[in-house]
Amino acid sequence: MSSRAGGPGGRRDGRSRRSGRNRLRGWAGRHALTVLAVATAAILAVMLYLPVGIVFSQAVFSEGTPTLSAFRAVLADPFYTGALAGVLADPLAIGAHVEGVLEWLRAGAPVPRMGLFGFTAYQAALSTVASVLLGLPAAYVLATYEFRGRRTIRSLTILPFVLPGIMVAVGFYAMFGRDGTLNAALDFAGLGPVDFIGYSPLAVVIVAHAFYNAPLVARVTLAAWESVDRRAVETARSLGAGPGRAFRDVVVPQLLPAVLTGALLTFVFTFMTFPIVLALGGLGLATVEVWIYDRISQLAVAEAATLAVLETVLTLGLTYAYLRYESAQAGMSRGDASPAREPLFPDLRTALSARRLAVLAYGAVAVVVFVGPMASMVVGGVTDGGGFTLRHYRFLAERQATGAAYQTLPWPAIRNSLLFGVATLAVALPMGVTISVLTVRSRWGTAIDALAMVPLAVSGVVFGIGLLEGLVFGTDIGGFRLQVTGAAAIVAAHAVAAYPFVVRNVSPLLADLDPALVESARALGASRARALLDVELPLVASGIVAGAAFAFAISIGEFSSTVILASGSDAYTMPVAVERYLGRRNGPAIAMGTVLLVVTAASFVVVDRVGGRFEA
Amino acid sequence: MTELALDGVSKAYDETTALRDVSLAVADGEFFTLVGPSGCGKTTTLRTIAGFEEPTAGEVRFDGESVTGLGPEARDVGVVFQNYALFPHMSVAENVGYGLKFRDSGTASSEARIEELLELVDLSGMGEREPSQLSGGQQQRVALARALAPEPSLLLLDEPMSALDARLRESLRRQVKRIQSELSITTVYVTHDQEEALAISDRLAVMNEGRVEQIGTPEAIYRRPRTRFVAEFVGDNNVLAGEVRGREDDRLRVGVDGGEFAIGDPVADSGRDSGDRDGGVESAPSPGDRIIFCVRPEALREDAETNRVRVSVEGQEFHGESVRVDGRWGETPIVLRLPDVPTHEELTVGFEPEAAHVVERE
Amino acid sequence: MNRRAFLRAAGVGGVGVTIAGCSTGNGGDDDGNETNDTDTGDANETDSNATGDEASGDDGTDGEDDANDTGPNGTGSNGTDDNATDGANGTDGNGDDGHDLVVTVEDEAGEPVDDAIVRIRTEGDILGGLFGGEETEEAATDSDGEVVAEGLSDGTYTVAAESGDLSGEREVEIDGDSAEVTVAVVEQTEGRLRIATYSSMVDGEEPAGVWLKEAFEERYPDVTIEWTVPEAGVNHYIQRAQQDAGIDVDVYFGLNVDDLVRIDDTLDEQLFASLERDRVERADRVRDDPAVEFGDPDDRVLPYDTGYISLVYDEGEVEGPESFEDLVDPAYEGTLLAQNAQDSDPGRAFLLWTIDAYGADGYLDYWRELVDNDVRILGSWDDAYSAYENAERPMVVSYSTDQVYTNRYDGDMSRSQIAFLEDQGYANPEGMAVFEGSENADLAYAFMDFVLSSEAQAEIAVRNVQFPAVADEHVDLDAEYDEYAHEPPESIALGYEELSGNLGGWIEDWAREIASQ
Repeated sequence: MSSRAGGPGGRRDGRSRRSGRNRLRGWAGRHALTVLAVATAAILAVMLYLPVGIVFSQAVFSEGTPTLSAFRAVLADPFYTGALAGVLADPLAIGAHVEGVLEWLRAGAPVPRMGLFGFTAYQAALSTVASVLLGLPAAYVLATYEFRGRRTIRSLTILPFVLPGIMVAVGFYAMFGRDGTLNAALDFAGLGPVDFIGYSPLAVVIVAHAFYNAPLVARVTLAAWESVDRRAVETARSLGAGPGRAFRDVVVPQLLPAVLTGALLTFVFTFMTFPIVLALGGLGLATVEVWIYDRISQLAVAEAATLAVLETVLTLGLTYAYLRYESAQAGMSRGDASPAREPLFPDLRTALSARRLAVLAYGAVAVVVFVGPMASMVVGGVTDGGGFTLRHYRFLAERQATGAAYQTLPWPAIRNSLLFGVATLAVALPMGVTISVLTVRSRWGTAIDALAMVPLAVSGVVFGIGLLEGLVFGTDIGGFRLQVTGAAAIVAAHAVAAYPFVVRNVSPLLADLDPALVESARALGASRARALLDVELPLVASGIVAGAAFAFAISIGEFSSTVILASGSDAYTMPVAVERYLGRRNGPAIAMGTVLLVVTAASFVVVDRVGGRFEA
Repeated sequence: MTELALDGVSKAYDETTALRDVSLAVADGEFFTLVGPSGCGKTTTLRTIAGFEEPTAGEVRFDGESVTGLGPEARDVGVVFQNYALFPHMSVAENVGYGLKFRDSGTASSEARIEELLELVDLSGMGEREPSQLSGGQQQRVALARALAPEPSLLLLDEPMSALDARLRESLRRQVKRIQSELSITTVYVTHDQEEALAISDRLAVMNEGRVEQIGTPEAIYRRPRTRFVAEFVGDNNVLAGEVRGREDDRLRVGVDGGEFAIGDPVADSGRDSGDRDGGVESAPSPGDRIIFCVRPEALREDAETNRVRVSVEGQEFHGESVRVDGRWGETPIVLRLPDVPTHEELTVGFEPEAAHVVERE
Repeated sequence: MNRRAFLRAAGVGGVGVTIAGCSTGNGGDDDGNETNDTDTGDANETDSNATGDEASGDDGTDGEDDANDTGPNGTGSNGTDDNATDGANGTDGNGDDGHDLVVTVEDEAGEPVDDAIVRIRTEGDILGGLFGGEETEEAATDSDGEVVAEGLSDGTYTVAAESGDLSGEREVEIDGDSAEVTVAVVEQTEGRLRIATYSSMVDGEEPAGVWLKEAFEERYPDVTIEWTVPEAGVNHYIQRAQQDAGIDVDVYFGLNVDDLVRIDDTLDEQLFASLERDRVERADRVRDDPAVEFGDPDDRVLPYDTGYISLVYDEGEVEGPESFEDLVDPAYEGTLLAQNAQDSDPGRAFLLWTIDAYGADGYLDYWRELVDNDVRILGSWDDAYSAYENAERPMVVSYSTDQVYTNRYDGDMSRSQIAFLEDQGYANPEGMAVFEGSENADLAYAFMDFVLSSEAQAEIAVRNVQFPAVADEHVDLDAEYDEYAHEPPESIALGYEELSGNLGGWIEDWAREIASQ
């Protein structure tokens, strides 16, 4: 082999002889990560922290002076904090508190007053349990068995996630109401009508929450399940563990972080739930968000901000705790060999086995809880008092054909939703990957990661007000008036809401990646960005695809920010159109909602198929 | 090729110091090994040379020019990791060809080069396989081919053999050595296996707790360790401490618990070693000095006439051409290398005064 | 119904239009013909809604048709324009070409204008030789404000009239028969009027906003109305005022009393200007009824419609309650659906109704009894009504016009029974106001005046399914509407003075009572 002249010195000379374009590319390659990080930070600063900061600061500043009196007032109010109000009002009066506890014990330890925050946490916890219980079996079935339509069902699991609250309420009433589908079916079977909804409003709300969030749990768990290394399971079996034991010892630890991610997200979402609670449960089941919404409607922004800050502190704190746990998990190397799936119903005998029957039973439950409301919704769109009718769709068609420019038309709504969805992907994926890469192995990683989750932890209605006051009305920053509205703002807002999902799906996989792979690439001459592109991203592709699916879903279903930023322009989306078509009879809104359902379902199937080509 | 120099390189993290003032020089085309126990800093040194870490003090120089601040992709080094780090989503050929993408060569010449390298490591025709389909040894060779493809100035290997079985290890290290000398590429090799280090290196540095204990040829390291650590770490050794009782001719009389030995005068037979490490003995020890000296197991022979001691046999290992015997002389453990399996439970062995080496003053 | 009314729109009260006859040949069809249905002669209007009249008028009974014609025709009635027409149509019956066009010119008050110059254009070209055989391109109206153009073949024409400073235009189509057209001459203004409103005014199934814009712009061809729908409603502008972000809208269309209260609670300066009632000619048409009174000491709001909150119940399941006490009676346990007063208009109205009945000191006790009697308080009106529709409960707080929808959507009327507790209904008037600082006050007042015209009032009432703000003699609602839209014998409404300073507290006390955990 020829010997080369010069080491690094010689090479550096050679490099400078390269063309200007190559040099630019070289610069971009070296600094790509920095550029992305700066761009991400800028987007977050303008579209997230500024709006949130504007509102939150009103909790702390009263006429220019900082004060915690608003917080004290809330914390010391038994309506908000229940039995803890006394303790929080005067934390240092230990004697009084101890006495209070003793008195309580003497009275037979009755159930303590929960307060608004307590109740919100309580229903969120119940909803989380319900979502996990409903979602895990779905992940199990989709990961373990092969059956016709599996891929499609897998693509569609996330569908409930995007439905507007109005639609879900309507669907639930249509499905579980006294006059609803389920009762009609029971009637057909000769069983009396059951007052499902009236029996326990809290239970209905929890099931509705599970409707929204069980798919989330299922999807996240499924992604992890499909990454389990078969060889690890085989090793355990060869060492003497039975299938159940091998599952428990090898697979469960790999699934646990994903399940907990799903549970955490569910808890946060259901803690901040709003329209569904009032629609199905009523004011008696009010949560913190209901109060925030009311305070905002009364323009008592300071009070709303106080509640919102407390809400965010709670949810962020929980998120941070979870992230500490996640980062402490020893990475199990990602397997190339995922477990093979068995056919679901290969023959009659297997079909009647206990396990298959249990699967069928779960399938029935899933149909009732998930498909039922959605189907009832669709039926509602073609019904009116007199039975089957197409008038609602005719309304949509006519509105589209003859509507004026200032009205809300169906096709622009559909087109915008899809365009914004794709654009959101284009922005949220790089944002999320950048944050994942920056936090995965850095010292402050956990803290940055928690801060990156802020979009999930902030009340939607508060964020909306922040957007309005900060960006729509405009903010003065040192003489320059910053105003952001229109389609670009909407895409940015969607990306801000969506990127945490990308991070949550990509980070665990990235953390498991052998750092030597990147170092090898770099030693071979790749810049940091090039190494990211060539080596890291392909290996975390499944996380990226899962994150993309969620990001798209978030964008399609996003309402509270979009409705504010789309005001007065024609950048409205399908959920906004649904709300605008709501009148004294909800037929047209339901028809539009059905359109949303169908368009979204089709999109998911496409996203999944396209994504599937990138995954392994 | 390239000359490598480390000048006073230190690396400290928050609470720990990984490298303390490491200095060494590797000549053009030399096969240089860093050896030491886990945590001694050898891998950190390698990573610093590669550019994955920046030193907190000191300088790394390639051909006299400092490379501080240059990222790994700018240093023109080839790296082979302990677990090979093959890109699992690329084929063997794509792995080997990866580094070629960053040189302005065309596809045709890249393909030719990949073929050339696969041939060099005896993996012709395996280009289309996936890394997961290869055995450990094959993967290691692919990693080597990948590192060499872009014709780097420096080749760095971080314990590449530790995941392989003994037989494979031996044959592979010979292959690596052969390739290295064929290409005349300056190479730094990291291993914890001192036997391996001795076998393949042109020179080696023994490291401990972030410091270089001694640098020298395998023979110098083996025969003339300059610190107690080196004496104990490299190969089996019998290390004894004693007090100089006197000097006769060019012999030292050293008293050790339980006996007195006559050993060679260190100054008289000190050789010239490269590697300037403190330790060793530059001036003659005087009576009253406490010194450490060592005697290699193979120097203890039953038929030696001087310095005889009685050793009780506690264990033995048959190595084919020799037998390693663990014994005890009084309280002191003694290791022997005998031509045959001992027949009795107690033996008397002795050594020639020249076979003992004074390591350092205590 | 909307279509017919829409067409009728072409003739706004006072402006008269009506395009008569044409193809129908029955003449007497005043309704909008143009389109289609008329051909059928009777049922015209395709749809079902409205109904009522259809059958009635059209066939042949020219003279009367008007009476039925459902909707707004013109002031005073049907009578006006139509009659005139009746004579004209049908009878002319000439053949196809050479039809007559009777042009009537009126002023804003509906009075005929004599000596107004009339010109007829088609596709931009002024036509000559139309008036009494003369070659001139224009003619003047007589003392009845009329002039006849002859010999017009089938097609679309624009009839322009001028009288001094006033002018007006109208399009008319000749289609096989003679026609009539009435052109109103008004003071032409120009400009852009920006009006903020709520979404169902613009996006609903029968959006009144669309009609208002088209009709108004037809009257004032140089004026453009721009509707804007801020998501947060009035709050959007309150916040803009708070932040000095500038308000570039002229009118707010859709204010309730509590909006005023909230505005005054939040802002120091005025958001809306006090009305200059003398600039709104029809302002005195508003009826003298608490149902349309805001009670605003600053008199900023002019009402345009009102609605009544009452109970809607399923007569097959439960008997109509007659009093508040009924609702806490065991017989009505678990039967009522109400809404969250924090956010929902009917919810708030019902709460205020109970405050009116039991006083500020007693209403919470009443609500505790209601809760004990298992009232279900859901979120918005939609939520509660969805539950009601799915038979969750047999009674819901809703609007007294519920039957109009049930009829329109072919529902079961027995489930749409209205109950006026204590023979009362709680009124929720809606009004419009001009923003302080608007530079288009002229246009704003012209618009508000237009909104109070008979035709507009009728359209708004029917499209919004509400009740007009003007006195009965100034508006005509057709019988269908009367049959299904129920008014309570007595209307209750707490006005600005009573709500100011109290409303927020009442709602919060109530909400805390309900939501306490």
